[in-house]
Amino acid sequence: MTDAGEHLGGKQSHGLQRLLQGQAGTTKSEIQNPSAGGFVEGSDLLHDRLGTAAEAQFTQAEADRTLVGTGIFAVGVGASLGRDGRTWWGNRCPASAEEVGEDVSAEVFRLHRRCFFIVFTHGAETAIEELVGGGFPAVFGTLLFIGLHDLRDEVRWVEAQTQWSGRGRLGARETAVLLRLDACPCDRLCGGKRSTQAESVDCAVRRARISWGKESCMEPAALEGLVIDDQQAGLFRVNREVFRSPEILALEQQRIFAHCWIYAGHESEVPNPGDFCARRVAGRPVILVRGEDGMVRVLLNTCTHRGALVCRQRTGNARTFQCPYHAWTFNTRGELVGVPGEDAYSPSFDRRELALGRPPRVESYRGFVFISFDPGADSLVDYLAEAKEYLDLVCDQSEVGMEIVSGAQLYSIRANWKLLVENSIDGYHGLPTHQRYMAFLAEIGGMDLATVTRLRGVGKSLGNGHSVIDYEPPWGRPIARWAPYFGEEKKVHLQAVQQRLEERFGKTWAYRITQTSRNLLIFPNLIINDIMAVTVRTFFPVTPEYMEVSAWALAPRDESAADRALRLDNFLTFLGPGGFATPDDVEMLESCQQGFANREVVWSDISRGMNRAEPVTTDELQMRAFWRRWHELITGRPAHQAAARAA
Amino acid sequence: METREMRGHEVSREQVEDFLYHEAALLDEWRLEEWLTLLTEDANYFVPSTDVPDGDHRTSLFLIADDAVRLRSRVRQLLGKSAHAETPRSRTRRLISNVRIRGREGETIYVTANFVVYRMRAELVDTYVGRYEYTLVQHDGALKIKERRAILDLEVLRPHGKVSIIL
Repeated sequence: MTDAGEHLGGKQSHGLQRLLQGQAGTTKSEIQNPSAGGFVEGSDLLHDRLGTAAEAQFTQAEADRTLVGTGIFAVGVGASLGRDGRTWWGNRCPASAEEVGEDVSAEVFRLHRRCFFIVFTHGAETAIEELVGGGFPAVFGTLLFIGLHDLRDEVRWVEAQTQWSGRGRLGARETAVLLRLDACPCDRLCGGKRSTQAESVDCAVRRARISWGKESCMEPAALEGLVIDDQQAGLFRVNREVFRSPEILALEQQRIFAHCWIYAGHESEVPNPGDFCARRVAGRPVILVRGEDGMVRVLLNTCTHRGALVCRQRTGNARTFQCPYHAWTFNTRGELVGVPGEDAYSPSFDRRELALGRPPRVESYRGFVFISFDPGADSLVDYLAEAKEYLDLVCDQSEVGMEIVSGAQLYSIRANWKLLVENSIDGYHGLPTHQRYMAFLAEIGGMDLATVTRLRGVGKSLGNGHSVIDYEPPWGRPIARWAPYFGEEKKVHLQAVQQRLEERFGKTWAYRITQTSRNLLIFPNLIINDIMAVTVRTFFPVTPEYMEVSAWALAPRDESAADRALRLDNFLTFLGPGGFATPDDVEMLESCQQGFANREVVWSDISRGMNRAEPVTTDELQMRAFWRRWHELITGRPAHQAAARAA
Repeated sequence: METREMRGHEVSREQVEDFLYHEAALLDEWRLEEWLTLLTEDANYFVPSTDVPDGDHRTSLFLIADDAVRLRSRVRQLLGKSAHAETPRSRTRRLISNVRIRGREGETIYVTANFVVYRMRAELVDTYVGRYEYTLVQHDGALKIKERRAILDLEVLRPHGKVSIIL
C-alpha cells in the first residue's frame, strides 16, 4: 500500500496516511491473494482507486462528467445495521430525497447486507460536519464512501473520518473505504448522459458494485445470466464463467464467505482448557481454543500490535499466546495480558482495546463450531434450518457426543470449490466415477454391481442453500448396519447398539440413524457425509481454479477400540485422497476445470429430475438448492426471476 | 557349520538396497503383479495422515491402511481401466536412499530408507518426500515385504491432492 499515497502528489493529510496504514493495512500480495480477501476489501478499493486515478482525471471536468449538474449535494444511505431495525440513517439529498432514496437503498442492500454508502459531490463539508457532529449511528461492517469532490474536500473527509474513528465510532472490526469517482467506466450503462439525478446515482451505485468485486472491472451485466433456473421448461444451467472468474471469486469472498456461517472446527478438537488448533478459515488465520474457563473461542490469529501470528503451531496446549515479534502476550481468552515496557505508552493506551480480534459471531451446534463475519447474521440454529434434523441424525449416534478422530486428510484439488460442493452430494456419478470401488464393495460384500450401486432414497433442499441426499445404502455402517465383511461376530454387537438406540429414540428415528446414509451440505462449504463412516469435510477457494480441502473422521466418543478400528477401516476403503474413490473424484473435478477452458461451451447442465415430483438421489435437486442460494447471495435476486426477465 | 548358517541369515545393506531398488523399478514400470510377489501373503501397506506421521491406523485416520485384501484389490484396480486418477497412468520416478538396517528379530528385519517419488501427469509434477519403514522377512535367503509404511514429510497433500499411485 505504500505506493498508494504517492498518487496524491504528497498532498495527503496525516489522516489519510493513518487510513492507509491503519484500517486499510494490508499488503499488495494479500490483495492479490483471493484467500486473504473479504474482510479488508476496503484497502483493495483504496488501492484500486488511489493507485490508478491520475491527478488529471480528478478535475472539475471529470467531476462534471459524472455527477455534477445533477443537483446532488450528498446522498447517504445506510442499510441494515442489525436485526434491531435501526437500519436507516437516512438520505442526505436535500434536492430530492424521495426521488432517489429508496432505489439507492435497495441497490446498496443488494450490494451487501450491511454497508454505509455515501456519495459526495461538491460542498461535502456540511455533510462531514454532520458526520462528525453526531446523528450517525454506530456502523458495523463496511463503510463505503464514494467521494466526488475536490482534493480539499477529500482531505476534509479523511480528517472527519479520522476524528470519527477517534471517537470510537469506527471500531477495529469496521473498514472504512474511500472511493473516488474518477473516470466512470459505466458508459455502456448510462451512455455518458446521466440526464437525471436518479440515473447518475444509479451510475455511481453500479460503479460501487463493480468495485465491490475488488480489483475487478466487472460489468454489472456480467452478473446477469450466471444461472438459468427455468422451472417451466425444467431446465437448470450454470454458466461456467462462475468456475473461472477471479471477479466471481472476489464476490464470493465478500458475499458468501464473509457473510454466511462457516464451519471453523469441532469442540472435541480442543477437549481440555488451553487446547488449541490454528488453521485458516475463509482465508483467515484463526485459533480455535478452549479457554481456562472451559469456553471454546475462535480468535483471529494476528497480534493487535503489528500483525504477526501469535500462534504458529498447528495444535497444542497453551496458557498464553506470546507474539514472537515484540512479545505481547495474550491469554486463552484473547485478552492482552503482557506488554513489555508498557510504561512507554501514554495513558490513553488501553490493553482492553487490544485483545485479539474475534469473528463478529461465533456459535456452535452440538459441538460444531461456526463463525460468521457478518454481525447481523441470523442465529446459527436459524441459519441451519432443516439441516439441523440431519445433523441430529449424525450426533444422536452417541450418548456422550461425537468427536473428531486424530488424523486429518489435508489435501487440495486443482478445481473450483463449487465443483466439490456438487460432487459431494451427487448421486448420479456413483457408478461411472466409482466403478472400481463399487466392484470392490460387491466383491467383498458378495453382492452384484446393480445392488451395490442402488441408492434408494431422495434428494432434498433443506433451506438456506443446504441440501441432502438421504437413502438406504448398499454398504455397511459401523454404527449398526451390519455387512458381511464386518464378520459374523460383529452382528450381535451391532444388534445391541440398534436396540439401545431404539429404546432411546423409538424405532423410526433409530432406523434413520443407523440404516440410512446421508450426504449433507451445509451451505456453503461444509460436507458431512454419514455414509460408510462419517466424514466432515470443508474446503476453501484459493484461486478460482484451486481449493484447499480438509477432511476428518467423526465418531462416537464412547465407541470401543474395536469399533473405532472398524470404522476407520471402513472409512478408508472409500474416502480420502488415498482411498478407492476420492482420488477419482479429484481427477474428475480437475478434468472439468480443464474442460472449462473451452469458453465457447457456456453452460453446465444441472436439470436432472427437475420435473419429478419427488426427486431421487440420482437427480440434482440438491445441487440446484445450492446454486439457487448462491445466485441469490451473489446477485441479490433469485435465479428464476433472472430467467423470467431474460425471457 | 553354525557360522555358515548365521551367514546365510545375515543380510547386508547392499542386499537390502538391491531389493528396494528392484521394488522401486517394478513400481515405476507399473509391473504391479510382479511387485505383489515381493510381498508376503498378509502384507500391509500404510500411509499415515500428514499430521500424525507416527500414528496407529486403529486409532488415527490414515491416508492408506491396506490389508492384504485391499492391497491386492488396489493393484487390480490400478491395472484396470476404471481407476480414473491413474488412467492414463502417471509416470513415476523413485529415488531411494539412506537405507539403514535398524534391527533384526529372527527372520524379521527392520529397514528404513528415505524416498522421493516424482509423479508426472497432465503436464504437472507432484513430489512426494518421506521415509519408508519396512518390515522384511527372510525365507530361504529371499527377502519379502511384510509391512511397508510410507511416511510423508509433506505437511499437507497440497497441491498433490491425492495418493493415487503406490508410494
